[in-house]
Amino acid sequence: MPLIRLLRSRVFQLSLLSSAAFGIAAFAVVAYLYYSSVQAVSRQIEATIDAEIKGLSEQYRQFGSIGLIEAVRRRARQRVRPGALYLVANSEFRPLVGNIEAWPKERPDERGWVNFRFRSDSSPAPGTVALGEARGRVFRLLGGLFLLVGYDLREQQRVTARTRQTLILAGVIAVFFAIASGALLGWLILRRIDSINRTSREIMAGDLSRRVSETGRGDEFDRLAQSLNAMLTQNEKLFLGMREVAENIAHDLRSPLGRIRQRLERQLSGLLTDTQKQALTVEALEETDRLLSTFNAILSIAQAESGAPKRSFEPVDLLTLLNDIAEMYEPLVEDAGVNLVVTLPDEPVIVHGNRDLLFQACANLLDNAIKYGTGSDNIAKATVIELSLDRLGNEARFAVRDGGAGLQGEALSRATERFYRSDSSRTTSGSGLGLSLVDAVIRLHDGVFTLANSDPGLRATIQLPLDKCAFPAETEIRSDLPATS
Amino acid sequence: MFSSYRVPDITAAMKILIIEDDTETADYVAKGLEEAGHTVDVARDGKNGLVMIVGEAFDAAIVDRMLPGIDGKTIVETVRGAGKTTPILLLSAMGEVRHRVEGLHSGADDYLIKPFAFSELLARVEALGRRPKEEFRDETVLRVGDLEVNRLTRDVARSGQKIDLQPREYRLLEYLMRHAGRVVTRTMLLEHVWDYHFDPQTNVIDVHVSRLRQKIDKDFKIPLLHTVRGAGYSLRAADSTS
Repeated sequence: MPLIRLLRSRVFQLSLLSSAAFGIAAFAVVAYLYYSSVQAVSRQIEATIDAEIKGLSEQYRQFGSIGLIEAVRRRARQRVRPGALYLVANSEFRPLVGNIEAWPKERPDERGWVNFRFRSDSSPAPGTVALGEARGRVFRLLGGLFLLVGYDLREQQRVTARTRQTLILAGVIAVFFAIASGALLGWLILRRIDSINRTSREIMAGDLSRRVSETGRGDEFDRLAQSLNAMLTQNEKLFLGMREVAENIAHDLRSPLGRIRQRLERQLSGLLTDTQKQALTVEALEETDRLLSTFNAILSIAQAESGAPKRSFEPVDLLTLLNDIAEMYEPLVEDAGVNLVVTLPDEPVIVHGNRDLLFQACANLLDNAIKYGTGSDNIAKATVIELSLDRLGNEARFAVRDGGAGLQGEALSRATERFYRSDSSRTTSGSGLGLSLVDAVIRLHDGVFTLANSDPGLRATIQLPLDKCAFPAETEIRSDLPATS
Repeated sequence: MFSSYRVPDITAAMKILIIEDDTETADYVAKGLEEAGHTVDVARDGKNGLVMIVGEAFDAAIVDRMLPGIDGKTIVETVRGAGKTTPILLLSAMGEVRHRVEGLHSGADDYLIKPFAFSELLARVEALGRRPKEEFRDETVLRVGDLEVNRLTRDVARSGQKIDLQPREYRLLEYLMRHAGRVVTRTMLLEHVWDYHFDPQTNVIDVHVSRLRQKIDKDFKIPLLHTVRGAGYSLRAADSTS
């Protein structure tokens, strides 16, 4: 199975393909070199033969037949040139002198060149057979003598044969290495991919904590693993978040539903007066209203997080919005025995957004400040809630500061989580979704929502980018105009 | 201050059309409206609904946004295109702000997101029913019992005694008076008096209403501004209470 998988592996096939292409190119180069070197050696041999003939014909011209025979005998014996063959024969081709036993039977071409076989006692190299192949040239001399000057080709053939063998061996080795390296490459890459596949199957099987292993080499596979792992971590976080939210919803809804059911049961008991029944009904209704409100908050958060409300964005004046909020909350704050201190700028502060959602976010902050920020443990009797709006560069900053005890430790960092309620706030009414909704709405508006303890109280800050179209750009444009009035 | 959940008022009975494919919702809404004294017709799909709403005279129509065949928004546009002014309330499971704005732009008079409290739906439908006949909208003086509001001078008086109101309190009272005898929910007040559509986590509206009540009811024997528990508020003279 692994072998079949390897053979089917794309990497393996690709590396084989590239090896094959490389092999063909290499073979062509080597074949050309081989062919041209064989050619070169042949020409070298013919040149040598021609040089010999020139020397011998010089002897013949000076000293006649006797001189030639003497020169041949001397050369044959002295082996001045290893591999050189000489033979002088009479008119019946009977050998007179030379280092070949018999005149070759092969017929020379019209220029006297002949390839022939010969038997020689003097082997050019030890271990070669006495019967050899040679190339030579024949001449007919004036006295009826025949001269053969040749060259033993056995050495050359041996070299050629060895070259050929070497090339074939090299080819076999190259093919072997091509397959081996392809297989290795395929196996190495398959192994990494398999590890990713295995991890993804394990994650699909439910183990969300699994991660793709990294080798630490920082190669592209590591980078792939890193981005996959980053994605997996984010997904796990989201999934666990969703699961927690689902569990929280189930948990938070069970108690009110139980209470509603109990009230309805009591109405059926037949022991209650009409007034009592009516009171129970009203209580059940109020409970369902709170449930509906919780669901609406969940849906609003989901919508804000989906980004869809962006399509309804328009310029919103935060100054008007906060004036409206302050006006709306003023009686409530007053009833709670709190001083609402509002600090607003003189000019409109325009942001790009949805006024209802922004109003909801700001209202939630005020609701929170009133609910939690007026703690009785505060020594100063007159609690103050500060509401402020100002412009910082190209940002609008809106802040609510209450007079409560603030949030300690984990409660501060987890306050915007859905359904998170600190132990201290558990006793008061509320869905635990207020700040989550603020966070979602502000992120939808590309803003930043931060909570910080500001001693006393909690300071909730919203920073929103100002609407670019609403910038007063005239001053800049005017400075560019020529000063011709 | 405490009154029963719902006071049937025969004189204000309306003929209402429900266009809703979900049988359960349609039946439940129809039953509730009938119990409140209204006559109800139900259409199960967009095509039938459109034929009925154009062909007959209804005091109000409740139209689901998502319908088989012709969807709710198209029905509203077609009805308005045909010059019909039948008040229409769009129901939608799509709670997105943008859908609400779209729905209202298409010519619907009101928009309610599922799931809703029936009291909310009833209050809104009854508020719609009043609209076409509200010649009094242009009236200068509104009267409920011995309470009078002059819309030109913005003078408010009860039994001839002048009452000073803050601008917002005045708008609140004016809205309540225009819907006198009807239940007005907190959401309706938020949308029409404050012009914001949001879900307050505190009783911020109740505080405003109770301040208004202080001014108009405190020194008088008969209360006019009533809390309808589980629903909202109602401004009505003593004789219209059963």
